[in-house]
Amino acid sequence: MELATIVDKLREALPEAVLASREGFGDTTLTVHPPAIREVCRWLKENPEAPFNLFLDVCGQDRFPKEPRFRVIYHIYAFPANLRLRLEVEVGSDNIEIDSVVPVWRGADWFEREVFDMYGVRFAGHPDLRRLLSPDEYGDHPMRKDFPLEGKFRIESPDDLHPWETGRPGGGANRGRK
Amino acid sequence: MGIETIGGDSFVTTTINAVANWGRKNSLWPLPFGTACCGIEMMSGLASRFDISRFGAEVVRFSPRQADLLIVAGTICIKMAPVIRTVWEQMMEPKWVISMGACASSGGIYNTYSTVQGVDHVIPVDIYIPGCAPRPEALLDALLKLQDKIKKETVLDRRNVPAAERKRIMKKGSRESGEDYTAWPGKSE
Repeated sequence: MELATIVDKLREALPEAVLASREGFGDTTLTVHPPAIREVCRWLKENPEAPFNLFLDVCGQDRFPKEPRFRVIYHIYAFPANLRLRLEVEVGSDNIEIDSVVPVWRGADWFEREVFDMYGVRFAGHPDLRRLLSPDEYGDHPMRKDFPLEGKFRIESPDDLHPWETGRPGGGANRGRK
Repeated sequence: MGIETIGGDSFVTTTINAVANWGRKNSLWPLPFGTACCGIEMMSGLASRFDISRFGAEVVRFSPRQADLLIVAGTICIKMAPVIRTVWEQMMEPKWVISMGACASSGGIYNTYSTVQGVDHVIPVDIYIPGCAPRPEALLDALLKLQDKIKKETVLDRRNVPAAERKRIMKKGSRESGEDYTAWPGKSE
């Protein structure tokens, strides 16, 4: 089963969903209409010829100051047919929300939490959308391009070990520092 | 506090010092706090090829209650800072800290939002090891240097004692070295 055949069938089944497709470095990338992402993923997983049964990764991308600012990129793999596919969705900065694909692949759970943590993209329908890596009270999304590399505070003494917690006594003392 | 606090730094404590320091420096029980690649070098230093047990520090304890040497080997991120502070506070006196590698000592290459720029912002450090990652020999060298340092300490040294209490003890006698390395570096009390 060729990947091009699958893509053609996907376009037939969901005509509005795939906006563009491009080839690069031996991989195919489909640009997907944002509201249709879960539908596309479900179709790809459940199509009988080459079921994309392995979810590999979700990444975020910040293209500041371009609009739409964010991209969410899905990497998926079909074990039986040995096919790889990449899906791209563009998300504007006014409403950073997109459907979660956790109902399709359970394994997307922590990956989407990471994208939420790092870029602030909210995944609608995610069962447990908390930060994955940063502290829970961390106010920022550190991989955004307008976030300073060195952060907004530093841990500089044992008296202020939670500087990101502004409500806590002693916390947030050096918040906003360059 | 025991008998050493009664007379201050007198002949009683100097004799106790000689015995206690000899015992302390030759049986350090390390708590390995390996959070990155330096942890691998530390494991190598602990294992048979380099063998830290030649210097009496092979009894690795994973409970801070039983350890007296904290080896911070690796990057300390901001989420880990309160944890390592708690681990250090749980350790019994006397206790020492080795900061192993560039990341633990200064943040290393990670001048970023998520990394503590040196574990000495959080806990006091006795010996810093440069290198990225330092070889196991460097760890052994640090251990020997720490043993030299322990040899010069007095039993009056307490790192966890509140400053007022420590001053009360210290007033009773002068220190051998005259240098108060129990004080928090750069912190006024």
